[in-house]
Amino acid sequence: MRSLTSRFSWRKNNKLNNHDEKPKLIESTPGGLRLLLISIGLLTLTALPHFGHLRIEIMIVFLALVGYRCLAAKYRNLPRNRWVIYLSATIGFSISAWFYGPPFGRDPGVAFLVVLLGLKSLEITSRRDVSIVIMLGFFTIMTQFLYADGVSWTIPMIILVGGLMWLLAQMEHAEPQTFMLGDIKLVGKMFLQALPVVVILFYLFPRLSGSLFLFQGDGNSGVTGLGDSLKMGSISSLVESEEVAFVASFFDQEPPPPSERYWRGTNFWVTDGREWSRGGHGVHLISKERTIVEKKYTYEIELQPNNQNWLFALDHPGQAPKNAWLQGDHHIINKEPVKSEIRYELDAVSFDDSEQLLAAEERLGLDLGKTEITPRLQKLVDSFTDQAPSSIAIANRALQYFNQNEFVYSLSPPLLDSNAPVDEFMFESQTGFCGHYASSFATMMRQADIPARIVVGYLGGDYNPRSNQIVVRQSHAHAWTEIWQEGQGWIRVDPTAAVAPERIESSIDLNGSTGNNGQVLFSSLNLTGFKKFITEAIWIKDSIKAKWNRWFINFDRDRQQELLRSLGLGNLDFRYITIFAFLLALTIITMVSLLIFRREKKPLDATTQLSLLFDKKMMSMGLARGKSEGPRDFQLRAVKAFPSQKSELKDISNQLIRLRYRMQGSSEEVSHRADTNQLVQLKKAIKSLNIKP
Amino acid sequence: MKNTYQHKLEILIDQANQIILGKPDAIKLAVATLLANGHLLITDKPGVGKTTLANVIAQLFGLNFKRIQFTSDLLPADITGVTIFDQEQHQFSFHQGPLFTQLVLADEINRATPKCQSALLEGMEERQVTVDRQSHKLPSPFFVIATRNPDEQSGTFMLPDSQLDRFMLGISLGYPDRAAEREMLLNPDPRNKLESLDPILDPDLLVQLQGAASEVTTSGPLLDYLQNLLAFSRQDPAFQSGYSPRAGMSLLAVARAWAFLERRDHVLPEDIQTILPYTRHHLSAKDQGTDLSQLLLTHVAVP
Repeated sequence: MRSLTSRFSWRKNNKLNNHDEKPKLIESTPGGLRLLLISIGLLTLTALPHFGHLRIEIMIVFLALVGYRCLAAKYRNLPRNRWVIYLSATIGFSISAWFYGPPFGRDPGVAFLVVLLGLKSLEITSRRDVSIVIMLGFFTIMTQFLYADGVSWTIPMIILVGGLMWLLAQMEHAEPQTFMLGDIKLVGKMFLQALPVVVILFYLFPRLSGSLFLFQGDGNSGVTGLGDSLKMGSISSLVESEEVAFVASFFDQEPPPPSERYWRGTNFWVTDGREWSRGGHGVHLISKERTIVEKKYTYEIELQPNNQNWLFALDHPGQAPKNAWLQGDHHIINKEPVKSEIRYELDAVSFDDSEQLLAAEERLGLDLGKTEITPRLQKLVDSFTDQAPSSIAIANRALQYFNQNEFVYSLSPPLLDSNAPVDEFMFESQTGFCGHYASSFATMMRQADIPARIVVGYLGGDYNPRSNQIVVRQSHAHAWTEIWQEGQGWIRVDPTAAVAPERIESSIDLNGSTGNNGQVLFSSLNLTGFKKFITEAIWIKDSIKAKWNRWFINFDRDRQQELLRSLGLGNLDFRYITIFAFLLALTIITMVSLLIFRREKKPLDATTQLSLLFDKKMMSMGLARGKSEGPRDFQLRAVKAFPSQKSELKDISNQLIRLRYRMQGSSEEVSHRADTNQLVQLKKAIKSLNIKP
Repeated sequence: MKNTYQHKLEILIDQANQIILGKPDAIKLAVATLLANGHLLITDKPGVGKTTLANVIAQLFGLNFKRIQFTSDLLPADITGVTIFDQEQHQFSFHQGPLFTQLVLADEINRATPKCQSALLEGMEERQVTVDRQSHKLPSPFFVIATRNPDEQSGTFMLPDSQLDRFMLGISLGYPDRAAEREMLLNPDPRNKLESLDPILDPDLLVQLQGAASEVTTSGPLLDYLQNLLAFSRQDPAFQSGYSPRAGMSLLAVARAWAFLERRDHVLPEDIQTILPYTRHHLSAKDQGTDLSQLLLTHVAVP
């Protein structure tokens, strides 16, 4: 039969009771190996996405460390002492420092963290270490959002969070191998319980404008956009990029037809014969007083960071959004360069014909600077101006010239390296893209004494009927010109259209299908089969992304105000929202904690308090009572541990045993009956215990 | 007064230890069960001294004693007795079976058919037997010490959980240690000693002792601890079934008897912890290998 002493064997597994013995390695405990391997597996999963953005060497270090830990779980004699950890730490941090330098900023910090994770896995010896690793896993998941915040990223990350929570729940069991499904349910329940709190805090907690996660030095990385100037060839690199420049939402209106999808960025007024630019700090023309004839569209733009300080708008913007100014030449200057995604709402309007040519416009619009006009170019320009009735007539002759000669639209034109690139382009290469045509055309117009300017921006965009949005990509970058026609004002002339109308058309629709008269088809009705399916899928994906961006990623202070307005809380001041949210949070926390601590809140009776006090006192002296250790066992252990205080300890614990176990009735009743003086004396005695371990 | 009681019990235990060598814990647990007015189940391999233990206990407590060897062809009437027509008196009269005694040793209980087992178990619970719609009171005190072979041995019927639950404690004896075995080898027949054994107690005294043991204090915190244990056994997913309310009551009763044997007037959590491993037959685990009493001992906090 089992010996009676065997009932003490459980103490060996009870960590609190066990100061002298080394804790058992987790892989030697029941179910421990499984916990260890699952935790390492989840840790690896949280770090794995960093493969995409960190150097491969860092990931090799990580995988090597983690792999070594797994091997050590199988081959128990593999060394895992502190020298191994020191050595691998030195190697790991050296590699991280070699490639990234000190761990400041996003990439170096994350690299450092990944190395740390690997090292931490080496250190797992107990269950407590596993819970630390789980917390690190949560942190690692957060770092993924420094790189990407799309839906497709967020869902796997949420699943990983669920996995970590599941493992936490598993650790609470004495026999972890048995209850997998119950814990999955538990995690699901916890997610659901947390959901309302998350929603309330996310949507109602006061928001500050600006991005929290903008790391210095990294903020500009990956920023692409139109340049400050137009050299022949400078836009070509953009044209090949499918990156989104901005997304325009038209809410419940019809979007503009393709011919009107000219998104103006800025205007280039100044040229030196080779390069067109905004000139110095840009040309600032005062806004003109004009009469609005018609309000055509109201739309919202979500602009990706491009580090430029102009905003894109359909012609003609009626007024500038907040923190931006509308210029006399219809381009909008933002207060500061766009370094994080911003949103703004605009109206597109049309004006009457009474536009006045400003003196500055005339001066700038005719200035050719040091442009070299060769005789044959002059001759060509003269042929355009000969007996022409209007600027428009001259422009049309020039467009005809492009159209009727062997001009080719190409994204990889030959290099123009003579001193007169316009001449070289017009008569020799005759191959180029929008930048070449726009700058040659503008040069010729100015030479013909017509004020002209180059407009850079985007043309077209991919229309998504699901979300009623136009997605404009870098590949839609375009340059065109505007010339002055007395009596009509500045009018748009796009010379590229004369050469390559398909360039204008091809960027109009997702599937590029055009109807008979170049009429673009917007609906998917005419599509069939697989192509239709693909197109639909892309539309759905884009509209999910749009909703995601609108309700999560870009849910900023403005959006919050909007939401509050729609909830009828619109005229609330920011301060009131803060106070309201604070009070709300306080109320929720109070209610929740009342619910949780309702039972525990009951004031403890005197004898229970004394017994807890004794436990606490002993703990402070280095001897903790085991969770399930009885009072007499504890007394014996205490006396053995502190023989110098034997009589005091015996006296105190005997009194406690008497109060708690020798008196009939609940401890409240006993506390009532007990002699108050004696309780006070006992309390004093416990407090005055003072033993150096 | 109480001290003389306990002194007597100590002498009794001492005497038993001289006959059954190297099993002081089993003897003390058996005495505690009797003090708590409960039945004892001994599970072990044949030949480790189960019967001798029961014999010694009966002898020392001064109880009359009958042994029923359970076999697969045993009938319920063989245990309880039969009603026979008496030719001389011209009436039916009841002939008591071997159950009508103060201490029954039900040997190898799991070799009998379930019907027989339940005949015994009715007696254990109700302390009466019903034959031909007539109830017959069993003597008082009435104890059953049942032995059973491990279930995996061939020729056994499993005892259902509901019947196991009626035994207060379940112990096993195990092999003797080296010194005890040497002693046994030198004195092979313990029965000689048994016959010369004088009873220490008598049934009346035993009833008094039981009364004294049931007066041992169980304080609020102790009952809290016991209830925590019961609740844990019913809630934790490692348990297929936890302690029944009856099991809870018998756990407390044995803990009282144990404290009484320890010459204490109050039950400590340690008493319950000592008893707990011998109450495993009240529980069943989802996973066969799980040590449920260990789980209870490590996970339930002493308040």
